[in-house]
Amino acid sequence: MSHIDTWDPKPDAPVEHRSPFKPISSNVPGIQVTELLKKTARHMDKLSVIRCMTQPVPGVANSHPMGAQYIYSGETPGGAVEMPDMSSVIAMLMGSDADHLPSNIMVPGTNEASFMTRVGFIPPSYKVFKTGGNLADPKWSVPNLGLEGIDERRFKNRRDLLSSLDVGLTGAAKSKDAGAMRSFMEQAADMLTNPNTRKAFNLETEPAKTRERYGMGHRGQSYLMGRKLIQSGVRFVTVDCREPINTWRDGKRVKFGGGSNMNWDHHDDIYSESHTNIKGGGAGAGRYGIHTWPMMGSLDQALSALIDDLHQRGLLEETLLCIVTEFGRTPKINERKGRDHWTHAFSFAFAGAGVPGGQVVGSTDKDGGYITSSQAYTIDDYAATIYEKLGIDREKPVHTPDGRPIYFAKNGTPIPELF
Amino acid sequence: MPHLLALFITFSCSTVIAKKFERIEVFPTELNLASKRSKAQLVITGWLENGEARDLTRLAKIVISDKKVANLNRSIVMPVGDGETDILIRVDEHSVKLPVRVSRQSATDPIRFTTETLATLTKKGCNAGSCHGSPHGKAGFSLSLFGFDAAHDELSLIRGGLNRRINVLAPDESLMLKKPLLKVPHVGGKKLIQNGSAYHLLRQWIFEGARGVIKNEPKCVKIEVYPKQERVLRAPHLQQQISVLAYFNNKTVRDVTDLATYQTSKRQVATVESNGLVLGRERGSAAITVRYLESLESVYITVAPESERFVWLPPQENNGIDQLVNDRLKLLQIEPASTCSDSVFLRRVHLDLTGLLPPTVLVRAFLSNDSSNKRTKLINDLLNSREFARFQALQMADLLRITPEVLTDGRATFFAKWIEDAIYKNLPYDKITRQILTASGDSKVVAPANFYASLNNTESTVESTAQIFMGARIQCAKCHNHPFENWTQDDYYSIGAVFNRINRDKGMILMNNSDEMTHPRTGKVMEPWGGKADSADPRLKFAEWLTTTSNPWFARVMVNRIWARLMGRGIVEPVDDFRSSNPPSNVPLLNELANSFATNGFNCKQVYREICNSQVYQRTTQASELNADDNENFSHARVRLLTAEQLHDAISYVTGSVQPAGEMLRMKTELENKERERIAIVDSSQSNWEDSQTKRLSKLDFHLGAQWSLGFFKAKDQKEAHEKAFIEETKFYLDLAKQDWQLQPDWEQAKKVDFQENEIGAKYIYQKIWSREHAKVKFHFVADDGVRAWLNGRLFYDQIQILENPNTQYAETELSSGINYILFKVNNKGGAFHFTVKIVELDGEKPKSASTSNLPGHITEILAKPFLNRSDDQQKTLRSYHQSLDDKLAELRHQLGLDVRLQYATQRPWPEQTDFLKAFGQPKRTSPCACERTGEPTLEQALQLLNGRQVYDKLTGSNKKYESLTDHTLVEVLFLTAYSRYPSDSEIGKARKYIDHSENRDDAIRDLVWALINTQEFMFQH
Repeated sequence: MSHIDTWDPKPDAPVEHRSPFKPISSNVPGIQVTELLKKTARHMDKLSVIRCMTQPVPGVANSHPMGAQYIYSGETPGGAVEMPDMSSVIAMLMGSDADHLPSNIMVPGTNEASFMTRVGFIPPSYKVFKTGGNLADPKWSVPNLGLEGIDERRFKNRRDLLSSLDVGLTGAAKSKDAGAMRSFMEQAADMLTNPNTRKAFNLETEPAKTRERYGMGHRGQSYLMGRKLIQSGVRFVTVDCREPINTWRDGKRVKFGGGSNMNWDHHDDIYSESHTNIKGGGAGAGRYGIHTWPMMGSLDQALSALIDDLHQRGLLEETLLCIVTEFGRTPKINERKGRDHWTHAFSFAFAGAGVPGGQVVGSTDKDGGYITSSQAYTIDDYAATIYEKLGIDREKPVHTPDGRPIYFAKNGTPIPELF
Repeated sequence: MPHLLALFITFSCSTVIAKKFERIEVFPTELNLASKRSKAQLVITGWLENGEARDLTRLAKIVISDKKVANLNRSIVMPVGDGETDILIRVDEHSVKLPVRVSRQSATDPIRFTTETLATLTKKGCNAGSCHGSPHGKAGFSLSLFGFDAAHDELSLIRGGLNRRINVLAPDESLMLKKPLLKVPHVGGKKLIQNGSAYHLLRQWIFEGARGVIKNEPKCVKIEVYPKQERVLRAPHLQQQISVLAYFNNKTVRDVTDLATYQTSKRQVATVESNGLVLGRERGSAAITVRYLESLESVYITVAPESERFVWLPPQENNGIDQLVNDRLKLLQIEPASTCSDSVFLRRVHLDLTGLLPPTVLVRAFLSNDSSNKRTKLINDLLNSREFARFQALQMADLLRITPEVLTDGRATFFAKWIEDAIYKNLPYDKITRQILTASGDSKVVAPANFYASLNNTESTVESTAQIFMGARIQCAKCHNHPFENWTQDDYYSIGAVFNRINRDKGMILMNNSDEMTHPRTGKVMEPWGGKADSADPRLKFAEWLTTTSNPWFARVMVNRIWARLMGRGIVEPVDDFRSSNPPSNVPLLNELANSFATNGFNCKQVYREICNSQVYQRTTQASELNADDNENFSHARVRLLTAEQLHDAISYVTGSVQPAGEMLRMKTELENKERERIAIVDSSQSNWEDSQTKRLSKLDFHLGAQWSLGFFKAKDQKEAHEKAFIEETKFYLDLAKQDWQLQPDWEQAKKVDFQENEIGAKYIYQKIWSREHAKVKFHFVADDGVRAWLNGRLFYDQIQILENPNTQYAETELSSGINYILFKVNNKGGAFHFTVKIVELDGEKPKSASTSNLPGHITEILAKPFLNRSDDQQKTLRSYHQSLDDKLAELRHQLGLDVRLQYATQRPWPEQTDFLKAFGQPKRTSPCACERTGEPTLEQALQLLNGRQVYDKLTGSNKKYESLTDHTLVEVLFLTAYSRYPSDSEIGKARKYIDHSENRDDAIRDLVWALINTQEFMFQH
């Protein structure tokens, strides 16, 4: 995400590299963001914006796959031990508040970044559960979490038959695996039939007004799903979406032009009026201007709705909301009228769970290229913040199967301004 | 807690000791205390009649004759002044006299940096991975992990931290003391006490000037721990004192019991205090790892209970395995389980050896067979089957990381098939290993060379080899000495020297002549492990060393793997984590299995056979009060979730979505017959087809032959490449045989010419053009570098580099009637070269699309020849091309290619990764670790089984397998298929009632199959 065009406006940058989007005032005097965050700016009193995020070792995670893995695990990828995602660690250490749902869910988990989720050396049962699909599709549902091809009555008959035939195993009473499997079977059957599971994933249960508030596209509905899952007691929800080319809006099919790479990697034509189709295809094909609906348009609406919705329901007090990116974008506009990857400085925003509202932490120079504040925080610090907020003792190691002690977010320190 | 225990022992000792001891023994046998800091831990042992030992260190009476020479601190002897004296040790009527010599008490003896200062920091945990030993240290202060890099530590301690860590003038002001004493805040907490020996040592070291490593500082070459043999602790003697002696290269020996560190492998069995005192807890075995600097030894402790209720009823014993397992059970007072039923045995052994459920017919036959040796016979039959070889090959392929993504171009199949054949033929395991480890050459031709082809560097080769064949997880030693085992960084790079010469060039495995391995820290050139190479290939010596019968790991690791496959747990567990701190749960058993494996010529099938025939393998899963807690002594069978592939196949079989294993061969033969018949039909129309094609070609305005290529010809620059004639460009067609022209099938469509990176030079391509008449022709060229073109020897196109606008690249010339030869020379500065050429006009007109031949160039060339001039090979090519046009034949061949047996995941070298298989722990094959395959139950598995897509799809057709049967038989067949047993009357009753009450019998059958799949009896092996 281009910090220069969003959280960290740079009106004094040289005109040839300046963002065309003007700084606007928020509902907190003295704090400005760009007009691309017009709706979100009205909730600045609930947000802490960290403008001094950086990757401590430049180049290590300057690609989308590495950057994504860094964000998920909170540790620079490529170390001696493959690190699990923070969400998996948290699922393991904290368990669930809702047995009828997976404790670690990603919405929808279909783009390239989501391929970088890792469960590392911890048990695979803590692997992130990906909902898949396009949430704007009126027929969207989560595979394997609803009964497929069989109605509830027959499923119940089957289960009755099963319990009359399943005499168990001799000696299984003492078998850990047999016991674990039995309880997982019960939990799974409950998930498949529990109306609350379906309700948690059923966007139809939300009033039309709420759904519209988030935006009736894939992004809006994904953010709404995030709120629903948090509300249902899911421990860790990751929302990471990109508007698909063939999608739905207001329940009707729409096709956004452009190639599959059309949003969120702004190497080309970041300020194009709509989308551009660059000749020759490849990675440059079909970019969208950052202000367009599939980009910041839908994001500003969905994010502002999410903050407000969580707040009004009282969920924000106990939910830590993190708005993050792998890295920022270059302060200079390149020859293809785009902005490339930039790891030296970028912005994160946080809300909820005791995070002070209405504050900006850190600053960058007039181009947005380098940090000028005395503070600078890393993705490791972001991870340490999450663990700290959840009350996880990072001094207590978890051991790999071959006995190596692992300390989570070991290179990070919680960001003090967020406490 | 230790206090309470000690009291208890004191009360009871008089009664326990009195009668039993045959003799007492004191370690060490003489004392020589030659420094003010010397001391000696005594260990006093009483030997019982039955050969067991008891630690009496804290119960014996110890008296020193001359207190001016030596003094006693409990059981530790301290020097006082130079001289000689005796220590008298008494336990009841037994006594031992121990001579003591004390010397050099007034001599100076400065503290030694490595063997004392660093050892103390290790002892206090300062350089542990979680503290200053972490890669970045803590709070800016970094030490090497467990002190393995003294030079680093010297710099960091003495010169680092702006010299505040050490204050020689005022030692007490040193941060190095103030922090761990908590005189200033220390995140790591209080680590030193003011009067402790560690504090005194560190303070003294600073006081003496904080000297680093000095020249000729004595190095520790080994440590000796006492007791050396496993000790059995029985209540009330639940203690064992350890003593540690360090041997230095200046021939001195020192007691380092208080400097060594101790760690237990099982806290619930035994704990150990920092002074080396082991305290027994619960029944079981544990290893106490003793570490001093780089030396590491283990003391093995077994805690045996004294239960009066326990009665040993000797179980049936089928072979030596049973005896060795039972010896252990008897010692630990664990009850062995009884022998399992035929049904359980059949299902268990069939799944273990072949991965498959036993076919229903086999179940019926086996259950009704009365012969007493039917189990042994079944084991032999299964071991000789292809299914066994395939399933074991699958497991081997996991470890060798065989995947078609890495081993492309069919090499994965090739390698996997080679392994399968080796297992099928029961090739000796040492031979297989040597062939793999010493393989060289093209991995498309030399199957075992794919082991190296799948590993992309020396490090991964070292780690894979060590883990697969030596059971050593050596990867930690790449960056630091391993904290829990004997592998050092030196060892790692010494093994690295074995493999560092391997040159992997696109699947070619060759050995470079040099490429020495240097140690990254010391820069020393490493000698290859296994000995200096006689030839350029150090792998030969290594493979020889590895596969000798006396190698400590090779045979053990393999028998342990086989044991684990059959028993669900290794004698050493994890199976590829052999180290002294992870002892085998039954040492004699592992030794015996390994010995007989090595002496029987590394016969793998024999190991399987021995284990499967043992009563231990055939035990029930039934746990009793007296064995339920046993997890590692094989008192009863383990309940195990079927592996991903086993479960996939079992579900497929029960739902009828795969052919039963016995059907496979019949179906294959049937398909082959059909294929032969179809070929005969196609071939019968061969000459008609050829005639019609020849006729069609002759009516075309023109048609093209194949493209043939020649080169690369190196040139000094592009100009030379373009202009120099590397062949007779104007006359080449007069004698085509003179040059080695190669058919380039890829160029027929794509016209991509690849040059190596940075290679400058040219390549030639020629093509025949048949023209009906003399005609003017216009070509269109697209090329991204230089091209020259000749028609029948006449240069008609010459462009040294691409022009801006490709639309302008046209060239005209004239075709003669009959055969024309067109020659292209392409040149490039390296990399891919895109080149297309097309006839766009003939006599001023666009060629009609109907006029193209649709035949591949090499086929039209053969057709253009008169029948009698065609070679046999050319005739064959035409025939197989004609056959490839036939849809029915294509379908038959597709089915044959699928090879019906490959529907079984357990029977394939690399089952594709499906959601189902992945959910059940199928490994990705990116690691040589057996731990990559996980067997733990998860929620995702439950969802897959209850309502997953794969189960749902398979279930849909499952009624077909059973619908023709009567209700009673149906239930019987279902149970025989799923559980290898007959249903009970009550089970038949329940199932039939369900069918009766259903509106739709097919649905009822599906429901029944679903229910069976979801029972524990089905999804677990038991």
